[in-house]
Amino acid sequence: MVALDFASIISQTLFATSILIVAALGLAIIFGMMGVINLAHGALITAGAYVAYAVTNAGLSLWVAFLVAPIVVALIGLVMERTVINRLYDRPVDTLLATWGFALVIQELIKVIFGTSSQSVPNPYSTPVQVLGSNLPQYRIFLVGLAVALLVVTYVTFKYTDFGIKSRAVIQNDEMAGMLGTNVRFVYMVTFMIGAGLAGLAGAAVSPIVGADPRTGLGYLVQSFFVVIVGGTGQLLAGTLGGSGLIGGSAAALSFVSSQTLAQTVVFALAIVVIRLKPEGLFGGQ
Amino acid sequence: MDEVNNNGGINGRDVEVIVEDTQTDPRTVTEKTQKVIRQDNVDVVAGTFSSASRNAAAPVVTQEDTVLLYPTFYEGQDQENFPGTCNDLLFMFGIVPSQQAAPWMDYMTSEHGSNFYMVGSDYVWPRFTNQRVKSSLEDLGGTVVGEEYIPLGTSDFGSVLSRISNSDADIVFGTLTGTDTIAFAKQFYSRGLNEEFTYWTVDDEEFATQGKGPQAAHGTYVSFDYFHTIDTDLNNQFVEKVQSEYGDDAGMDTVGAAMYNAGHMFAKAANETGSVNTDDIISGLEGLTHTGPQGEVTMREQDHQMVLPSYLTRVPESWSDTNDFQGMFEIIDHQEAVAPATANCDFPLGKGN
Repeated sequence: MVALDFASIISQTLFATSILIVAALGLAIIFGMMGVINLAHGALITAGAYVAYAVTNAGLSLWVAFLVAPIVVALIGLVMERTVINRLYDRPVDTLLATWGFALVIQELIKVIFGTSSQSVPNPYSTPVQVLGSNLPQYRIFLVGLAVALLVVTYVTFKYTDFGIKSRAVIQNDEMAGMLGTNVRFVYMVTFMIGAGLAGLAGAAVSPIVGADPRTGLGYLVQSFFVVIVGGTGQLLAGTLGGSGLIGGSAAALSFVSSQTLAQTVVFALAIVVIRLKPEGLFGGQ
Repeated sequence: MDEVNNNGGINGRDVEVIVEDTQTDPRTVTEKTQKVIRQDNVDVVAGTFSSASRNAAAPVVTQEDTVLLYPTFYEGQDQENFPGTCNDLLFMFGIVPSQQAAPWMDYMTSEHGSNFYMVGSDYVWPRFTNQRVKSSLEDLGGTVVGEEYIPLGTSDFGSVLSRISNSDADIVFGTLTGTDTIAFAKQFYSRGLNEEFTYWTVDDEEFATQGKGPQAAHGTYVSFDYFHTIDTDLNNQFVEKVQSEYGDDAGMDTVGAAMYNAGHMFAKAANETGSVNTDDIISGLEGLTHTGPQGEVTMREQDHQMVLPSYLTRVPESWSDTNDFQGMFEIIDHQEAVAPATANCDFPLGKGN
């Protein structure tokens, strides 16, 4: 038996980090930037996974789902934002209850439409590849690329594009931004939709590895909140990267030397220590 | 129950079914059990899916002196868990590890090798099942080369799979449950481990295997008392009835079959004793033999545990449509009337009241 297989540790750490980046990015926008405590984030991921199931079950490729899932879930986000969330931007704590309500509705609707049992989404890259002597799953390698791409695109969008600058202005001071001629309602709405759409994309992206189940998103919900809080709210690039590395990556690395249960416990304890010492998160407050 | 009613009901009276959703939440189980007994005045309670739910319902049925029929495959009984087990009021229709895994140890070890890597969810059923498997493995001269328990709700199995990959296991023995067993199988497959190892699971009945999909499920061994695909007249009729009621792509699994047996055996017991009083139901069910969809089954008098057939199956490469329950499993072999290990109870069973 090999005591420590470094290639495996490095690849698994990378895989776990990348999947959390994909899962948490939508929340980093809706919660991290906008301040909406979005407890429906998990349900939106689940919805994305079911879109992937519906698309692949209809005989289309998973790549179609990568396109359709963010659109469908962004539209769910549109409904949430227009009906309820837009009334609660100055009452962040109330968003907690409202979004949890949406989470339950979405989850139960999924059960009504698709049934309560798990559904399978086929893996487009199902065969492993040999890298440095160990068998690595191709799809996970693809996910690393996807995580990097999403992170960069989102960061550039919010940092440099016209819409991104308006969006950050509105979130910082919507009254002033409004007076300067920005359509505040529209910017809020689109920002929320982008966050929701990213959650939908995350659902489609994880579905080939975990399947589609009414509870698929729940595990990612908790982890995503940890990522955003530990990484630092409002820190889209560094926060999401750092948070995902700490929560997902270190758990994966630790689980090579201890049991999975212990690894998770240690990581969450570590997260609490970080928040105690740096309440604004690893990269917050700059 | 429609079948029972069409055959004249119980003692000439129709059976009425009251359905409540417990959401597998112990607190809801307690409330709903109280409700159906006190408010709806039911004569018997059937259901609760998990062991935790059963343990939550047990004090209520004990207090109300009502029989509970439990349908799920589970870890078996122990006096420690009274009143949730070893209770005169509880009847267990599901299969236990000594029937599910033990009968096939000989076959699996001689066909595929005797080094086992055990992966299970971190709770009582996997741990107990593995204890049983370990002791029969040792009798056969096999070795456990790895044993791991994963917290429920884990979606990433990277490190476990690396350890399996580096081990000299022949058989990976799975007792993961829920969504975890699906994620595990998918990741096991995408790392190509299915080529190197034989995967044998005692959890993945029809619906979990459907969730894994053909790609990831091919070649996996599964053992239970019942499979949708069992080719007996009774099962063919049973499946046909289910499909005419719920659509052509409806499937049946071990828990559904156990519930079906529970309904029929309760009706039989009540008809034979001519009453639905709790004590009469108990004496009627004890020792009762019935022909279910899986073959002949008997409710053992001593510990209220079912004597059942045991089937070993494999998911064939020909299975390609996830909704095809008929082609999902290929039966390798089966044994009739496999007696469970005697429950670890104080006999005779007490009601605790």
